[in-house]
This record gives sequence, C-alpha cells and structure tokens, in this order.
Amino acid sequence: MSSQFPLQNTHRNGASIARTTLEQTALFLRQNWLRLSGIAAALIFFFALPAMFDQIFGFSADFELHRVSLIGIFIIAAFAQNILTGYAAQPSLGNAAFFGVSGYMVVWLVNDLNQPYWLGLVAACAVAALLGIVTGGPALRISGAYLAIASLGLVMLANSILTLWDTTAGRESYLFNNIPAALTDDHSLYYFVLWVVIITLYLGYNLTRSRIGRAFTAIRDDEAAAESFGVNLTRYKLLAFTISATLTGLAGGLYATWGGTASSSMSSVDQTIAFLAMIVIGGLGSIIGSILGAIFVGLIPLLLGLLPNVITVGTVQIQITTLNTGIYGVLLLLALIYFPMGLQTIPALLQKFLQRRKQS
Amino acid sequence: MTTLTIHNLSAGYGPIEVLRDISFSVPQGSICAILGPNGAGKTTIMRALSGLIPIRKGSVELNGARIDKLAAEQRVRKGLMLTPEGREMFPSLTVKENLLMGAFTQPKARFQEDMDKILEYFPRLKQRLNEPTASLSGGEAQMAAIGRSLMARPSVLLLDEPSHGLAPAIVERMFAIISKLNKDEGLTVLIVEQNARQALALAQQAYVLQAGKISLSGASKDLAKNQAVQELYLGG
Amino acid sequence: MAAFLQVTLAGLVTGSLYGLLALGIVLIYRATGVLNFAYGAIGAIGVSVMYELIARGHFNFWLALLCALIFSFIFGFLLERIFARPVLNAPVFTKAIATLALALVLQTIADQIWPELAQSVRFATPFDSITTRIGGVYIRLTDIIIIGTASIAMAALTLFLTKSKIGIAMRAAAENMSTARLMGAPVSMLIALTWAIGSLVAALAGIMEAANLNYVGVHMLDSALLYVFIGAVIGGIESMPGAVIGGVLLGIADNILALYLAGHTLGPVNIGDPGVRESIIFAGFVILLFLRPQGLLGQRQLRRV
Ligand SMILES: Nc1ncnc2c1ncn2[C@@H]1O[C@H](COP(=O)(O)OP(=O)(O)OP(=O)(O)O)[C@@H](O)[C@H]1O
Ligand SMILES: [Mg+2]
Repeated sequence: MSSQFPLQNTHRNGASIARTTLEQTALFLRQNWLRLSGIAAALIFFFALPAMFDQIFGFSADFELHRVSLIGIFIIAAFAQNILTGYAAQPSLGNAAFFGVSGYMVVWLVNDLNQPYWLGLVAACAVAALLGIVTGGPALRISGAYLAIASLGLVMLANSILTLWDTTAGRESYLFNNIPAALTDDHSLYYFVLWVVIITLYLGYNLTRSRIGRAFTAIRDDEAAAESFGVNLTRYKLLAFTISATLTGLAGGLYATWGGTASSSMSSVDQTIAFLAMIVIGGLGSIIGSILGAIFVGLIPLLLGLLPNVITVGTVQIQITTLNTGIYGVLLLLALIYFPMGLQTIPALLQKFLQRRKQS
Repeated sequence: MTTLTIHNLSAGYGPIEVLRDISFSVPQGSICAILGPNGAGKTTIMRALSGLIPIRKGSVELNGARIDKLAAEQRVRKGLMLTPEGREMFPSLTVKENLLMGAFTQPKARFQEDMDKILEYFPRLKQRLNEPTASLSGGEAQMAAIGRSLMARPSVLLLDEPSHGLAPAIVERMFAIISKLNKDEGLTVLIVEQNARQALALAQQAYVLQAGKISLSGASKDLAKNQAVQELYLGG
Repeated sequence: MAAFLQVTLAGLVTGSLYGLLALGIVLIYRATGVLNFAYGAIGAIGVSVMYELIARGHFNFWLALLCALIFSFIFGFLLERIFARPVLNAPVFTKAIATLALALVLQTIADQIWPELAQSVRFATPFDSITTRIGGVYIRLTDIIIIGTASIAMAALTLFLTKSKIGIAMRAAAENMSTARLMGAPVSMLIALTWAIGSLVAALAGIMEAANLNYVGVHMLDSALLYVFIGAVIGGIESMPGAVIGGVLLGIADNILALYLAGHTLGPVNIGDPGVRESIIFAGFVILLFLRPQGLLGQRQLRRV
C-alpha cells in the first residue's frame, strides 16, 4: 500500500495545476475505486450481518452475534498494538496490562462507585492513557527483546495486582452488574461496537496519514535518520505509547462490558500475545492488517467450534475438540510461513499471480 | 593454463539482471583488477563467483572444472576465497577466532603454523590477537579480513574493495603485501577497486565494468594510458 | 538462620535450572533470532518421553535418561528443519509468534499421547530418599546432583562454544551467516545443531525439575518459562554467563521472598499470597531494566549513525 497522500499522484501528470477540484475527486475515485468499493462492501456486510444472522441461526442468532462483537473489540486492540509496534516500531508487549486495568476501572467506577457508564469508560481510557505515559517514558530507554520481555513483566505485574485485588475482596472475578440496559441487548451491543470500530479506524486512518503518522514511519524506517531530520524521537515514541494505551483501554472497557465481568486473565501473557499475533498475522503497519489479523485470531476458534465433536474415520474415533488448540496452532504456523509479511499482502499477491497468468 | 575462467555469466537479484553476458579470465599466478563506477555490478560478480548468489547463465571454471553449481561452502574447498566488501568480520569473535574461522576447511594441526606465517605478513595483528574484531581500526580490520581469507590456503583470492575507507599510506602498504603474496606464494588475485591508479599499478591485467558489462579490458599499463579510463578514473 | 540457608539451597536448585534453561534460550536466540516460547513444551516432551520409557517400557532410570536426551537432540534437529527453517528469514516478531504457535501444536500432540500427564504424575529417581543434615539444613542428594549437573552442563556448553571449532563456527554463523558460509562452514547444519543442543538442554533441565519436584506433567515447565525469560533478560540476553546469573538470582530471590512473606498480612492483604511475591519480582524486574536497559552483563549497543 502506498503511503503517499492520494492527490499527490497528480504531480506526475504535468497539467495538474489546471485541474479542478471536481476532476481531482474523480481522479481520486478512479485511483482508489477498488479500495473504496471494498470499504463500502464491508460496511454494508457488517451492518446487514445481524439480519443475516437472524435468518441463518434463528433463535441462537443473539448468541452468535455476541461472539462476533468480540472480534470488533479485538480489532480496536489490534490496531492499538499496531500503532505502537507496526507504525512506531516499539516491540512492547505491555498492552494487555492496560486492557486489564481499564476493564477493572470501568467495573469499579460504574458498579461500585455508581458513576454513569459513559463516564466510566472515558475515565478508564484516561487511566490507561496515564499508565501509558508513565510506563512509556522509561520504556524508551529499553529496546528490542529487552523491551518485549520487560513489558511482559508489566503485564504479569498488573495480573498479580488484579488477582490480589480479587482475592482480597473475596471474589472469583469482578462481575459487572450495572451495564446500561441498552448494551445488554446483543443486537445493540453489536452496533455499538461496530460504530466504535468505524470511528476508531477512521480517526486512525487520518492519524497514520498525518504528520504524526509520517513521523512514526520515519522512526520505524531509520531512527537515526529521522532524528537527523528533526523528528523528536522521545516525543513521538511517547505519543505512540499513549495513543496505543488509550485505545487498548477503550478495548478493555468494552471487553468488560461485552463479557459482563472483568478478570485478571485480561492482563495475561496469553492475552498480550494474542494482540501481537493479530498484527503479525494481519501485517505490521497496516489498518487492513489489524482488521484481518483480529478476524483471523477471533474467528478461527469460532469456526473450529462449528466442527463436529467426534469424527469417525473407519474404526478410529478422533476427538476434534481436544485437537482445537493444535489445529489453531497449525493454521497460525501456515499463515506465518506463507504470509511472513501478513495477510494484508494477499491482494497484492493475488494481483501478481493474475498478471503472471496473463503473461504466460 | 588459466585458473579462473568466467564465460557468458549473467546474474542479478529478483527481477533485476545486474550482470549480462560477462566473460573474462584470471590467469594463474596473476593479479587482475576489475574497475568500475558505483553500482556497476562489481560486488555482484564477486558474490556470483563465490556462490553467495546463484548465476543465471554461463559458467565459472576453476582449473578447468566447473564450480558454478557448487554451494559457497564447497567453493572454499576448491581453493576460491572471497574477502567480502566491507570486511564482514565476526565482530564479537576475537581476531584469533576469526582466523580460526578462516581455517575452517583446514586441519586443525596446521593452524598454528599458518597463523604464524600470516602474522608475519600482518604483524600489527599480533598484539590484537585476543581482542574482539569490533575493536579494530579500519586498517587493522582489513588486514584481519585478508588474513582470515588466507588461512583457507586459497589458490585464488577475491578481494572486494579492500582499500575502501583507508588512508592512502595504509592502502599502499596493503597493496605491497598483496603483491608480495602474489610473488612469494604464487597467489592468484582478482581485485575489485575504485582506486584505479593504485589498482592498475598493482595488477597485470584489468577489466572495466560499466552497467553490468565489460566495456574495456587489457594489460594494466595500456589501460592506464587509455583516454576513456583516464577521463573516468584517473582525473584526466 | 537454618531456615534462610534451607531456602537459599532451594533457590540455588531452582536457580540453576532456570539458568540452564536461560542458557538454552539465549543460545537459540543468538543463533537464529528466535525468542523461543516453545522451549518449555520442548523440554516437557523430553521428560514425557523419559516417563514413557520408564512407565511403559520398563527401562532402567539411567538408560531411559540417556534415550530421552538422545531423543531430544534429534527432536530439536528435526524441529529446526521442519518448522524453524521456513521462517528463518522472517521478521523477529513473526518468528516469536511462530514459536508460540509451535508450542500450541506440541502441547496438543503431547496431550494426545500422554493424556494422563495433563495432571501431575509421580516421578521417582534412584536417589530420592537419600538426604543428609548439615547444621540445621537438610540436603537431598537430588539437590547436589541438580546443582552439580547444571553447573557441569553450563561449563561444558561454554567450553564447547569458545574452544571447539564447531562451537566457534556456531557463534560466527550467529553473527554473520553469509560470511560464515564463505569460510566453508556448513551454516544450515550449524543452525539445526543449535536447536538440537538447545532441545537437549531443555530436556535435561526438565528432567531435573521433575526429579526436584518428584512429579512429571506436560505443562510442568510452562510457568517456569516466563521466569526463565526474565532471568535471561536480567542477565543480558546477548550474554550467556549473564543469562545463567540472571536465572540463578531469580531462583534464589523467589525462594527467599517466599520465606519472608509467608504468614504475614498487611491490612486486608495477605502478603503470603504467591501473587504478592510475583508482584514484587515483576516490579523489581521492570525497575531493574529501567535502570540497566541492557541487563546486568549485556553490552550497551552502539548506535549506528
Ligand atoms: N541484494 C540486492 N538486491 C537487489 N539489488 C541489489 C542488491 N545488491 C546490489 N543490488 C543492485 O545491483 C547493482 C549492482 O550492485 P553492486 O553491489 O554489484 O555494485 P558495485 O559495482 O559493487 O558498486 P559499489 O562500487 O558501490 O560497491 C546495483 O544497482 C544495486 O542496486
Ligand atoms: Mg561493491
């Protein structure tokens, strides 16, 4: 995907000055029609999904829709991880800590302190943002594998503290009883998550094309060069940590709403690795990649769940359910081997393949 | 009787074909130079000869036997050794360990004797033997790189821009050593250089590579007088 | 005092196992750039094979040990060839996630083969009941064997990497693969060998952990793995001695903290809870890295300009 601003392409045609805005728009549409129609199709699909589910699943539609909503939450979290790791090149695995803390924050504020839900969600994002700044500052001093493991330590620390909170309060996990009625309905929760995803990605798209986004990519491509061009490394890296933490906080708050509970497993090694897996599978530094990765990680277990429990081959009975994790692992491996730069490369690969077919 | 013969060689990276139909030879016991501007494909020739990249067409023969299908690891055993561009030392390994790596294909019993001999050529390395090569100066590192290659007892040594980034005095000393190795040990040398004047003085024969093709070739002293070469490389 | 010495001994035992595991992880990381999250599963499979040989094959303990180690060596070799090779040139993250996927696959396979090992099963050794008492400290023969074996294994590995031709070539290939090929070193073989040795080390550490705890299970190394990574990073993940020191320090700190926190409360919080101990260790680790970003023995990387 070209990171150029779309209208800049007109430079190549000498007569660009004479172009009217209308012509420019037409050109933009012509150059991006594939992407634009893709987005339009995706939007129509997702807005129509509940109706389709009603048709397909009948009265288990709510249940299935609820499971799909989770993928939307994952998309936000994956995009947050991608801003930090894919765009700003910080191999931090700490996001699950913000995810967990923010989940607990929402439940605490809304449940125990009786604050309105919206305030709770915003406050939880703010807490996550603050944590992002506090931990991001020192994290700038650490690089590579050290940062990865150190931030994993942060996740474990948050996990221990949250677990401790639960044990001290004498509960298994933190039940969220005060969810606003509008969000307890699976259909409206789905649309709520969908809108949050759309707005997040729209803002994110503009962010990555802005000066900030270009500074991130410059840092990723060559830190020393970026610095010598006057990019303030500390400021932009810290900004990446903060934005990423805020969005992860948003995802954490939604997750607690979605599950009706916050538990310390939200801040776990497995969770943070799931976030990383999403962007590695989808593709680093790509919005489409974040979406595809979250769908892959979120959808595969759902699809595997649809398989029959037992398959009989001749006289041998195979327990599929016990194999699910392994099948998931194999699929993950295959995706990584065949798409080392992520699923986002599929369109380009397809195009190349078709071209070669045409040539021969 | 020629040692290294390259016939109609083509090579490149992905869709880019860098070298097109190159033919030349390096006679046994001689020093040959390849000159050419940046990006001409000099390093690509060295990589193709040493087996780091596959060739697409043509052949490479060493003493009459084709070696172009052999893996890089095996070409060393046939007597062909490359000192790569930018020296490429193993930075955290000591000088001695680097030399040991050079002698990887040789029996261990010979190591001490060979190392002593090489240290005579490059006495500066003696004091730095147990230090990691990351701490060497540019000149020392280049000496160590050549020394490491010699540990493999090559019959043909390929040198890719050994003078790069070195002070003129050091280059002169290094070229004197190469010349001495050629005379005393009968070492055949193919050297890639930007430093045309000194390279032409060192080599008996030279090839000029431009945009992946050999545009000029001949005895060094003739090339040094050639109008085009003078304008391009010798400052008129 | 006796209690303190007793936990220090326990700390040394777990610490030397962590150190050994950290060494294997660093070995593979340096050679192939893979942060191997499947390392625990690889070790656990080695132990399970030994369990299989003793329980079902009725092998003698030492013969089973030998066979399990040989198996693990070959297993590591094959894993590299089949699984790690296709992603060798992929970005570092891709490789790390790939090992996680591998861990899932290996654990599923192990669960299928040894369903009974999903729980802990007793693991007996010929030297189980031998203990002696010095001062007030009980010392098991197992403790001495573990500390001794781990030390010898670490020393042997270090000697191999610094003195033998193959070992030096392994380090060279880790730094510059194509130049190592130019020198005539069979790089592809060396990388597979790194995994083979790493896997052998994992199995050895796993078996000793089984002897230490007197039980075996497919997931027995899972919780240790994160500690081991932390130990490796504390020491400096580029540095082998650092990894060992980090692992040992972590093992000792964990045991000593357990001793002093046990049975105390702080307001409503029971600080004897393992969660508190973990919090302290993780917080200490994070703070330590903030102070020394390259670990204790890691070299500060020079910035390229
Ligand atoms: N790994 C590579 N992948 C793709 N293209 C490459 C690669 N290495 C070199 N090239 C291209 O091949 C061409 C020849 O490069 P080569 O390194 O052989 O030049 P050279 O003559 O050695 O130049 P210099 O004097 O700068 O060392 C250049 O256009 C370069 O961009
Ligand atoms: Mg070159």
